[in-house]
Amino acid sequence: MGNEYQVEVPEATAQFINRSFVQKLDEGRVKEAADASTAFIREKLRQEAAVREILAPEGISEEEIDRDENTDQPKKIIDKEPDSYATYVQFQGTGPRTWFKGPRYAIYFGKIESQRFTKNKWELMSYTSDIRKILSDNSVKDMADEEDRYFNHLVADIITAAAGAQTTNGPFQSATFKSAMQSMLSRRRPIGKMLMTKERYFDAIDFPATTVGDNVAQRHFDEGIEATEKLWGLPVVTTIKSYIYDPNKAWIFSPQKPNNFLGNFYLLQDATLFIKQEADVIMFWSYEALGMGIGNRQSMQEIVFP
Amino acid sequence: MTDLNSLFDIVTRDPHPNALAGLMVILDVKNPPAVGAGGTPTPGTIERGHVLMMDPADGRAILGDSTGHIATDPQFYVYCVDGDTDYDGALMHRVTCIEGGMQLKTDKYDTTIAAVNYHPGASLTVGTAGGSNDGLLIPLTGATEPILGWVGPDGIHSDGTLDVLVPQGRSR
Repeated sequence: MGNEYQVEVPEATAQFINRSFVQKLDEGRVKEAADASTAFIREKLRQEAAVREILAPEGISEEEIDRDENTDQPKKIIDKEPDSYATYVQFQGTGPRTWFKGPRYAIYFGKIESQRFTKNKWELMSYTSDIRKILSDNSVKDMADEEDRYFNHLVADIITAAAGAQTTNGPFQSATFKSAMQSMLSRRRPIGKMLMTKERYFDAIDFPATTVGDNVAQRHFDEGIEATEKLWGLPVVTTIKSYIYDPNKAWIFSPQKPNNFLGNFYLLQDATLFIKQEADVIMFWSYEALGMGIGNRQSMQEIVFP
Repeated sequence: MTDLNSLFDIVTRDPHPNALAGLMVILDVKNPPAVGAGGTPTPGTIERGHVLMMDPADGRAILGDSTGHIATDPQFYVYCVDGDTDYDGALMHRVTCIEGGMQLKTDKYDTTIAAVNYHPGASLTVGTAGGSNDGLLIPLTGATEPILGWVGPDGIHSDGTLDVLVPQGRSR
């Protein structure tokens, strides 16, 4: 149903889409109307939540959640790698015994919900804009923002608790980034991706040819910074959300693959559009249930620019 | 004809399924604990049933008390119905509250006060700031205290919970 709806869209006017949307609801095909928009929503959300580029979301099923005797709310317990070491000994010596135990941490879940959009169906018909755009603009981006906002708070809490050890200060130049990456490596954490606002990323345009080479400088001049996806080999996730992520900062994170050195992002349910109509009033909203956590707190380094 | 440019909007949340007449208010918690060292979110201390009010500095939820309530500027109190001690609350430290328009049974009342004072129809207020009973219901003791509700017809249930009627806009 979703594909059929998608194919019709390019040839239809926005008014037709709205009318079609309303007709489906009138005819009781609420699920079809919801499916058509839900497929679109998932595409947008993956593109626009920066955290999903750092922590890959992973669906979790009923069988995989962990229960608790004190609450009926779900959680997911994640095992962490137990620490170990080896010892150089004489031929008659032995390594120390250990009754090993692996630490764990838990992911808790919550719900993100958009505003509940309410409209009279005749008023809805008067809109010349695409109803799907309204849905995506007003609910999906808002939910993606909430994901990023939570992740930003989580990172800030961890960096603050590290009391400076996971912060590198310096100008936007190679020495600063090098120092940040070296800090990660000194803690035996691999380097995965970097996150910064697009606004800050544009500072890379100023890298002179004497630093980055003629080819890179030429490319930046001809094609802009957008053509560059890495800095010093490090993939950069950029976001326009300077209202969430401080543009005077950047963050380096350890990778999740092939081995997970960072954390987890679980989805009990991905973004879902719910639509209902009662007489002439149409309501629709989006919601999702998710949980994210950083199990390896030393797996990030914050860079603070002056 | 400037309706489309009006900033006016009704932003009430849909009512709680069990408090259909209640105004739902969602508040961030004041000074929540940080995520634990292992990465697991740390539960807070606001439990369902606690009486809360907003910190005037930032609108965040704090335990309610009658100390800051004055007749000429009555305090706005809410009942927490989903605190930050559970998993979802520990995750976001955002609590779901209802202002009034409900009947509830709660264990968040001061049990050190004699049960006879919680007779059906007794007016209820909230404890004093910094005391052992801030955030808890107590019987009204003075004309200047805010009214948080009335003890319902069941008084104290056999399981120890208090039957409370909370009309909308009951504060004074």
